[in-house]
Amino acid sequence: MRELMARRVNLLGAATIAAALLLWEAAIHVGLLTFTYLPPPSDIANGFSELLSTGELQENLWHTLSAAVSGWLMAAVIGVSAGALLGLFRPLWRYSMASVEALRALPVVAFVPIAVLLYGFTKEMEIVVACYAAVWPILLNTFAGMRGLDTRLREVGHVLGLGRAAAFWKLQLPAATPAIMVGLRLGLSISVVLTLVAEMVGNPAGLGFALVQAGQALQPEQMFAYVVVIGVSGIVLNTVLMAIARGVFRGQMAAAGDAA
Amino acid sequence: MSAMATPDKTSTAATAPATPGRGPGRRRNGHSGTPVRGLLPLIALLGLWQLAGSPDSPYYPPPSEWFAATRPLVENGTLLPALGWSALTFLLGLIIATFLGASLGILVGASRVADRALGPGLEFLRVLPAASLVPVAALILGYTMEMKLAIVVLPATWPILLTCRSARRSLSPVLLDVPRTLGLSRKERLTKVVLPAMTRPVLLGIRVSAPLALIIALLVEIVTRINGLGALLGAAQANFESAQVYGLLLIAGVLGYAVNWLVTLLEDVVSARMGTATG
Repeated sequence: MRELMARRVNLLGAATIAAALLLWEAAIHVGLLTFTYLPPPSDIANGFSELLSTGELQENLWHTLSAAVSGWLMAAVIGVSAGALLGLFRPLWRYSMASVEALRALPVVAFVPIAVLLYGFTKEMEIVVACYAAVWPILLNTFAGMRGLDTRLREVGHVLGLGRAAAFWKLQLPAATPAIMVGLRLGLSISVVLTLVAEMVGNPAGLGFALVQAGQALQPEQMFAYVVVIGVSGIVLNTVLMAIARGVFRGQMAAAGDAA
Repeated sequence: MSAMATPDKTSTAATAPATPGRGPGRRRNGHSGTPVRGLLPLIALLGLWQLAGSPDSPYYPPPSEWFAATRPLVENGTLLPALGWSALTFLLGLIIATFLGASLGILVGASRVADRALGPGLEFLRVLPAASLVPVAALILGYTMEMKLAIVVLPATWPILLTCRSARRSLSPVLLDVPRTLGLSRKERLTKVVLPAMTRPVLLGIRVSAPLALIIALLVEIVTRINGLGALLGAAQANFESAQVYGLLLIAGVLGYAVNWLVTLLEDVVSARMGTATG
């Protein structure tokens, strides 16, 4: 959907955003919007270039993204393998799926204080939180992808006399790829969010802490600049992930109508 | 946290693996479909933890300690009001988000031009992690209930808005022509045709939004320490009351289950009333 929009450049959409920004700017100068700490877009742009020139922005961005992505990578390995195991072995599923669902239903943010207790104010804490949060969507989507294998494909495997391992490698895994990608994308955005939360509540570093700090220093323009950066970096991460997936799993993604 | 579960991705996640055989009917018994004995590992783990854990461990206090540590909060009357505040924030936020999301979604989906004009802006706001808005809202609106609500409403609106938008966009033109032929007024058209057709998408949106709204409500409370369950959690962590943190986590989990159960109930009631048509 978003890809489709990007391909056909949506001038009208861009114009609307520009108009909204102008309106925002004008409303503040005219005095329609009178929140003390709501800066006009031009100030936000200034704040952005300020942060960029001091190098604060790059440093914080790197800290947050590296923590989020490493947590996510761990989650990808754990989630895909655990999800595949659950999808492949019925008894394992029978004797553990309910536990998985029970754990998953606990609100993730409530785990942040526990992680802070266990790991202190460290980057490991951020990574653990990001990993924990991202594991669930990846695991469940992998599992669903494995289980959702078309019966006809399963029969084809039987007819061709594929063994368990071969069937997994040649049928189940490729068929589950689009579902796994959905899980990975969801997981990526969640891990970024939880990294931010971990920085706000725990480790004083990275974008999350910078946001809180800018707020306490009453520098709303820097704060909004950070918010925009966070939004854009989420989009960029997602786009990169999709581009990689399309390159590596060309066949599978196309078979799914590039769904995901 | 629009980012917690970005709506249309989640809905694909939920629907994509569902092959025809596992439609709505299967979903209803989907919960009982997962064997209860699957809870065994979790119970075993907790039991082991209880037996092996030392009661004064600062990191892994055994489950019995959790209850002991949470009891004072019940006794001094802080836990119940906190639960009430969190539940209130959640409910109000979700209700506002539902109205906002449904009406905006229907409006945007009804017009191609509006859809194209607002699309990219909505997409950006959707992927923006709500967590990043907490400090912003706190600064602009202050540490108030309105601030809490504003942060809960924003991310919870997107799933509902987007499902309504696409449902409205793909609404069969015939369905709109019939009332015109029957000479129904604008209002009747809305209440008799458009709104019933939107009920299911709205419910689907709520299914995604509800857990999100709860998470965000907790998050706001943890970060800003305004009254609520999240604030208690944050305070317990700051005081290194680890057993209490685990206990509160458990309570937050129960709240999560309650929300999930309520949404399922709502879905069942509505689908019983509406029949199984309009799939």
